[in-house]
Amino acid sequence: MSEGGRTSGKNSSGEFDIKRIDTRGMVCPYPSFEAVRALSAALPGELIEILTDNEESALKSVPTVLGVRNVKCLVEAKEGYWVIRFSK
Amino acid sequence: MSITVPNGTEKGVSEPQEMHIVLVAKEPERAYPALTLALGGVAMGRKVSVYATMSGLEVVKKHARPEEGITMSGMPPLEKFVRDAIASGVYVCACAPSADLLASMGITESNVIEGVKLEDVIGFLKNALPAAQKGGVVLFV
Repeated sequence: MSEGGRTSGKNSSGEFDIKRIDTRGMVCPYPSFEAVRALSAALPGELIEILTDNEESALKSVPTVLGVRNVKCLVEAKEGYWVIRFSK
Repeated sequence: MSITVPNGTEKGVSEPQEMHIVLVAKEPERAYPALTLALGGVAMGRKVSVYATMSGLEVVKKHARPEEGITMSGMPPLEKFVRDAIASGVYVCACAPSADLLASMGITESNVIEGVKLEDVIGFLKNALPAAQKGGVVLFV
């Protein structure tokens, strides 16, 4: 489940596509864990999106684990889930 | 796959705080929280170790399919937690007074999850005691 929801790469313009990790359906602490794992694997400037349907993870846990690494994020509420965006 | 999780050490702190978890039970109600704490600790940028002993040794045994090991409704198999913990740098070990005792409890190097170390109590204490002295956390689950 942790690997299957990942998409990333460079587009034809040589710019990074957004690395999107779908953690919907995953339980704590996986949304936070996957966010940190994505941050670890990302290249500088790469934009990452974490999708989660866990409100606690979206509004508190993921921003917290990014915050201890001095990484700021934006959280957008969608229909039944949240998108957390950040870059390395 | 080897994964390095960046540490989340706050500015001005040279080393991440350590968390050492001793797991003595195989019941899902205790084993899952122990591994959840381990993964959460990594996510928070802490250096984490898990010492499985007594009934907790069941947690580090590998299976042909993770679903054959410890499971809990609504959660991934516990073996996935252990494998993800090891891949992200958690030190996971099977602890007993001797290799013979570990073998008598069904634990050998060949039947534990890849990356699990075999240790005795000194292996635990040599890491946990200095960590506790520096403000680390030692938990028994």
